[in-house]
Amino acid sequence: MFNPFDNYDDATVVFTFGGFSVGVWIVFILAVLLFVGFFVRMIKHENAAYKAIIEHTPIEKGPAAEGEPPAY
Amino acid sequence: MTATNNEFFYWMSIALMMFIHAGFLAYEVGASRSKNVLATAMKNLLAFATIVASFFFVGWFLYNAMPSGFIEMTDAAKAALPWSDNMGPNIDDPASGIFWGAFALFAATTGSIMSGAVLERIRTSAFLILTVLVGSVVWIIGAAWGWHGAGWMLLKLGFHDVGAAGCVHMIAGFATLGVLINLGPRIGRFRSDGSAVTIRPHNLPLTMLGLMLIFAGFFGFLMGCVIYTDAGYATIYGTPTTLSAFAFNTLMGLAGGIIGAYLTSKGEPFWTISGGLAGVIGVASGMDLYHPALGFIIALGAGAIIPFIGRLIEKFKIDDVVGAVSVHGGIGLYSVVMAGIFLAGYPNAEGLPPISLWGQLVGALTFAALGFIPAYLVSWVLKKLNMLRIPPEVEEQGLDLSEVPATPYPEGIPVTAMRVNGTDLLVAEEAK
Repeated sequence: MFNPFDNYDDATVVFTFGGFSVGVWIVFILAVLLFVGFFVRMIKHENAAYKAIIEHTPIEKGPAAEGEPPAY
Repeated sequence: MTATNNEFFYWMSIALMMFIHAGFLAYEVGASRSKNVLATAMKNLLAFATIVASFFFVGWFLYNAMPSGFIEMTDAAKAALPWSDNMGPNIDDPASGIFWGAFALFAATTGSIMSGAVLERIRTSAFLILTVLVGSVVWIIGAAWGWHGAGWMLLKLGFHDVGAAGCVHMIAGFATLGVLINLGPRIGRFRSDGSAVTIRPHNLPLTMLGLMLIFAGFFGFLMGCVIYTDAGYATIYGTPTTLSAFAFNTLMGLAGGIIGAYLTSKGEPFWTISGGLAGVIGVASGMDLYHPALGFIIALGAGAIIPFIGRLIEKFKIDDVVGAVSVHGGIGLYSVVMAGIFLAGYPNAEGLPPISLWGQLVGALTFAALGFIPAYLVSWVLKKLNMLRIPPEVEEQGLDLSEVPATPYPEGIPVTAMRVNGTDLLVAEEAK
């Protein structure tokens, strides 16, 4: 479905969608958005974690002094 | 067959460079206090991940587009666009991916150099923003200018830095300095009268193991600094060389650096083993041309001066946990200048200016500015947005307790009576 060639006889570009295609631009933009989204999520996690520790309410349930997940 | 050998050569270079990251992780985990070890490890892992991804998005394009100084849409630049025919599996192109991979590891190394210096008080997100800036933007622009066969520093100045002491270590070291100025020291690192207090690593043996891993990884790093073809080996500037040349001076550099640092630090383990790294960086710029005995002397000098650079930085109340500014910034500069002194007059490829001290000094100044200014400015903006540093309450309690949902030593670790946080003496009774 996403292959840019029909057989290996004259194949050069074999990656999904092929170069300079709409498909490759879509996945590139999606990858960059996920990359940026990672930073946003991380900053939110940090803010929540710092607030919790300052207020002595650890973000993970468990012993207050430890702030770690319960034993499995 | 040539293409297969070429790919395998750089594949091994990439694999060996992974040891540098294993080493950074061990080194920095050991250098942290026990309350920050997992956050430190996570920082290293995420630095690697974010730099590799962003280097695909933008870094490789910058290297191929900016040799002249500014972005030019040459054929090489177009081929390095992330959506081009060359930036993915392509049966006719056995070079792009493997060179991109080797450079991505260089990028990850450059970005990770800053990691240890900022330990225990930087926000991980801020660090990652800064490390992506250094690893995927700043250093690679420096590499395009001064570590590229068509870079303007080579074409105009005859610049010589085969082992990337300038574009990798110097840029990373000066960027680190810019960040540290805005970040400030760890709580307790300096007394109110300004005197420095040593905050001990929680596991110094692990830091030493980490540096040994970095030494191993450096053979992969330097392997990636040569161009391998069916005609033999060449430097990144296209002049002929051999791996033998690199073997002579890498090993003599390691030896000289360790001995030099031992002498001036009076056998202090942290500086002594850092001296090995300083030694290799110290000879890196000219390691294709130095006699090994001269390489040893230059490296000994590099190892010998790092404790002094470290103390000088300390006088300005800059808290560089692992000595990155000293070892990478200071010795990167030293390496570029030494090449100017000892290699002045050596020819470059046909039609290019010979190596000169003047050219090396201009190149060094360029790299210093390229490393320092962007990192200083971006970290200053992050500081103003209150996004650079963790809150003091979190710093006191440790990052592992707050943002990492796990405990590194759930059964505890042996405690030695010592000064902690530079203020209070932990007495033996308390330790029990």
